[in-house]
Amino acid sequence: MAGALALLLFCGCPREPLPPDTLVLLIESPPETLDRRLALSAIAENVSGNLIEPGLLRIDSEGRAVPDLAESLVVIDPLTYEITLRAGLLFHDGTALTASDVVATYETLRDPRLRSPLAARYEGLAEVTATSDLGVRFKLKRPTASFPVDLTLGIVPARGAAAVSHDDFGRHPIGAGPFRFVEWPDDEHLLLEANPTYYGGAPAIGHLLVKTVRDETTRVLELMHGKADICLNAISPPLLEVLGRSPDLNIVSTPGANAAYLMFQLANQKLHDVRVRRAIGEAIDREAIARYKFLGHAHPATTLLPPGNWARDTALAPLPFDPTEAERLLDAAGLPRGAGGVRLSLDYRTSTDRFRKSLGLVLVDQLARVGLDVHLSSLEFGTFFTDIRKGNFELATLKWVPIIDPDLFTLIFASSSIPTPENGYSGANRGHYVNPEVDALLLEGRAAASESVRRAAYLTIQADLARDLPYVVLWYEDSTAVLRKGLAGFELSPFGFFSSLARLRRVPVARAVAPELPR
Amino acid sequence: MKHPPPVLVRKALSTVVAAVGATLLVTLFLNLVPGDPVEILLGEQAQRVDREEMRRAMWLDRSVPAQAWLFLSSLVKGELRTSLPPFQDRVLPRLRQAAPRTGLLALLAMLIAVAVSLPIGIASALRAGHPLDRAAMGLSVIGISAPSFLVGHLLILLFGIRLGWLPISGDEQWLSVLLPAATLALGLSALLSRVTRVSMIEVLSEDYVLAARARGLSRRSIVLRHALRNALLPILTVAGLQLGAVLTGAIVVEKVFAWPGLGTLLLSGIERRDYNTVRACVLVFTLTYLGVNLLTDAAYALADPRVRRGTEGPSP
Repeated sequence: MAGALALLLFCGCPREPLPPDTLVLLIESPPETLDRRLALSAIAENVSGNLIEPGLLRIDSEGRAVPDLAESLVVIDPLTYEITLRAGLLFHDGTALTASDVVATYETLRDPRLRSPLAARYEGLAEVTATSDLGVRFKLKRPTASFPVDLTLGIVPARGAAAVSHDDFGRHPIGAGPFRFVEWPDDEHLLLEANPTYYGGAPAIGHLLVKTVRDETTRVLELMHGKADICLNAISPPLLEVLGRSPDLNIVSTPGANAAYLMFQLANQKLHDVRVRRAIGEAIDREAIARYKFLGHAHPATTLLPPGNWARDTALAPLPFDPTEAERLLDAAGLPRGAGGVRLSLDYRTSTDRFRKSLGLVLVDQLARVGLDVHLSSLEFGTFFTDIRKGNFELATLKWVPIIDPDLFTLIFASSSIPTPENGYSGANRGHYVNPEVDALLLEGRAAASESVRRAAYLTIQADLARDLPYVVLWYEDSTAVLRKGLAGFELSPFGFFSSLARLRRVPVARAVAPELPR
Repeated sequence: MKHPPPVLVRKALSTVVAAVGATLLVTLFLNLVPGDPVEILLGEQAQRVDREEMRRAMWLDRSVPAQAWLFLSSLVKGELRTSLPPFQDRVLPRLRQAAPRTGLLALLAMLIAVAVSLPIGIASALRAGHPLDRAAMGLSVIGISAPSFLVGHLLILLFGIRLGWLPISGDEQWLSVLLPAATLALGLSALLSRVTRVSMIEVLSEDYVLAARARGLSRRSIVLRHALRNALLPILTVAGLQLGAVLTGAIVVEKVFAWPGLGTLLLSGIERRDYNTVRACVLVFTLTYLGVNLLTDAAYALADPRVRRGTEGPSP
């Protein structure tokens, strides 16, 4: 047994010590690949796209696509986009990044042999051609105003891209990003180093260890103990409070891009009347939930588009918290209090996530006060999500992934997006919302080339949604970061992007001086 | 058949049957899990992805036995890939990397458990009924009942943060293995010390112990050479059976300590609906369990000459 143990110690031995200038970033689950063309999960997109392989464009904090590796983007006509690359870009291996690499990235993405889950997203792309060493032209099959958002796809070298069935690229990626791949011995440890040839200047942090710690308590303990330096959006509000008390840590919080919402099944007779939906919205005390459940790390919302988004209707007033008005509306809708003071019974579904479930219980309690008997079923995520997709619910709460381009409204509110067995339940208009005016405006917003025309269309849509209430948009959950003191230059993105880690630098800490003990 | 097949052949055959059975069972359960794995994997991006292609690549268009067969055959050929887009990562290298880490953890936990529980169990048996015995057995009840995710965090708080002696998580340092191994060992040593105590009390009341004492043998020699050796069989049985618990316990403990072993691999497989990784991990657990049972049989033989000669089965 001792011999077996010695053998195991030998092969299960720990890795070499980390370089002393290593910064440790904690994440909750590992990326499945580092090939941006294949990344499906948010974490894989974030690590590969924002640290290793940036794209032609990137998303700024207002949700606009702005130049990254590209120097400029010119819209020739609604079907033709041309980009010019920055001059002198280098990949991590020292080779030049040119138009042919861009073409190869987009061509291989659509190559069935790569089996990229993103291929279908670029189905509207007709042709990608190099016009010069630094120029690339994109031809679309039909006008798609949100196309620049799709140009954020990470660029990989033509040699890496050419080997479409190359097993290794996703585990040994090469890009032109601020950090260069060093090693990824197992899911838990990904080591990157500063790229001295990055066009934006080499990061001041020498090495970055992206470490996966699945257990939230352990993440907290590592941060408290000084074993990790930074953690983005992976600590829940109550534990953030605990970390905030540590003298070595800073908590940063910024309005986030995730909108949580309460969804109604409009096809259900009970919820068909907009007065009932409005009453439910007005019976919910969102300020109290934001203050006590999120400890201030959430803000009542008015529309699905996150704060700062260019198409957001900033004039919309939030639904007031007004239980008296809610009761009046329910009376008017022909739902007087019956036996036991109950006006209406409703079924409400959430996942088994403990925090989400506790939020659900608060909603149930608040709705009970206006005479709504809400039954909360908390279901295993697979079952829950299948029910949601098929429209099998009365009330449900969910969170949208950060909405970058308002064209996503087409998927959520167009009557053509109502999931049915015929379309394989593919649309996301799960509450069966039908409004011809919204349908027409969605088409207009998709095809229009000018941002002001698009914005006008989406403003009207947001006003319609606030009136018809197919959703009650509950709150935006903050983007949060825990950061060791002595780190400067960090800018928290509402989307939680890792990009600004490239600008982190160490500064001397002005520590509170402890009284020295007499010796 | 004139001659019954030799023991080794029989064991090997039953191992193959168990491996195939485990694969079939786990495949069946994976298929019974509610919700469409493709949809769950894709989440809200689903509308832009070719689902049918993914379903084919994940073998979800095949029957349960066909899936199990595809899994086993590609595993044997060494070509098994994860059922996660882009379906290119190989499973075997990851298993090879994770398995020694879990092995190290489990073995060290076993060693700690045996090293702690034998002395406690023996001491308790010798002083049965004494307040010290009661205290030890009371503590062992706590040890058995305390969930490892709680114990793990408490150990981190004490040794990792208060005292600052040991690393908290990961496997960057040699000492990193100590806390997870100790966490895993706690429940096991509590159980083993109880088994040791009961078994020792029983043996100590046997006639041959009385006889040894009458012949004037030293107390040390009676306890360690005569009594302990006879008491060892039930202890070995329980320790062997508990290896299953150690392996499943390792899943939780590895999560708490971010230890990159098989448990972590299995969990990430479940999280991502990477069925092939889940099947492969379960298969490794099954084979290890069977292997350890074989070893336990062999250990009986070492401890008990009657088993070696094959004249009589081990006494219960």
